[in-house]
Amino acid sequence: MIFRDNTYTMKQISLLIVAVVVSLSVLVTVFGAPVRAVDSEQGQLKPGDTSIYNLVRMDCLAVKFKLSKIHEEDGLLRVTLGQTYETTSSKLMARFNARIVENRLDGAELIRLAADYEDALDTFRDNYQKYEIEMNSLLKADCQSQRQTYYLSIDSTRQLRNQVNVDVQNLNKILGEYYDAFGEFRASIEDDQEKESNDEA
Amino acid sequence: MKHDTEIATPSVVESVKRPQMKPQFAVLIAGSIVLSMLLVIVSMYLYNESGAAQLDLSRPGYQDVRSQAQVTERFDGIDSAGEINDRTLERFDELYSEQQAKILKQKDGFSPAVMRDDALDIKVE
Repeated sequence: MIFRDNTYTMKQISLLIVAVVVSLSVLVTVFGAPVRAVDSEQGQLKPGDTSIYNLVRMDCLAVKFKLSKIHEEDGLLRVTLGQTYETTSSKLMARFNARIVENRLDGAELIRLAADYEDALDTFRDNYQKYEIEMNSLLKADCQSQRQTYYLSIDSTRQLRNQVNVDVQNLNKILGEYYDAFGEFRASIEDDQEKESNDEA
Repeated sequence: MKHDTEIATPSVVESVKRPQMKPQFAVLIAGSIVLSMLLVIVSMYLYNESGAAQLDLSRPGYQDVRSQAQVTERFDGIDSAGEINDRTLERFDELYSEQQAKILKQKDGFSPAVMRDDALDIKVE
């Protein structure tokens, strides 16, 4: 009926638009949502899992509240710490290494450490992303009816957070090593300058 | 004198009652909606995959700490071109130590202690 003549009624147009909008909204909801709530079918532990825990006692509301506070503070820390890590890498290490190369000096150790630092920073970003996604799911999951599963989710989120902590320690360690290598580089430059001035004398 | 009038047949009366619309207009509207929905899907995907979502303190759940995220002073670092002399080395040392001190103030960042069972008041038997 619609395609027999060239014109449409307002009602037909409106129905078509509503149909398109509804179907696309469903698509956006399915593919756009970053986090999905825990599937209730995954809920209860299977009989073979009873070796894990017999009884988990927790006040769900209190636990979720504490987790949400941890999540907030971690978000702030990620932004402030991340900014400092990035500026140290891009505005100090990379630029200083470029100067070393331009002046044809021997800064192999500094360049190697800067590359290690970049790799460690990438690892930190990736692991934090995984942890944050998991933490988000945890905050939205059902604790009351699936206590044991919820506890297992807390445990796995905890492991991911520990990994982020390890990444932070690793970054700090490389920062220290870079500073030590800079100290040696500076000493070698000063030695060379002293030799040159002695030779001239 | 000719009058520009149309005889009011039933089909003419019917077409006057129902407003008509051409198919191109319907395609334009539907097409615009489809395109904008697709762009929303793509941008949401990029927002999540790139890691930008984790840095976005405007998301729900961060309202209490939003005000604590201060606008930091502009940090210029050092120039990437130029000679390496005592002044450069001194300047680099000063800036690097400053950044390192800022980082080490939060050296216990993401400490495991806050998520332990006793910290969350969870008892497991």
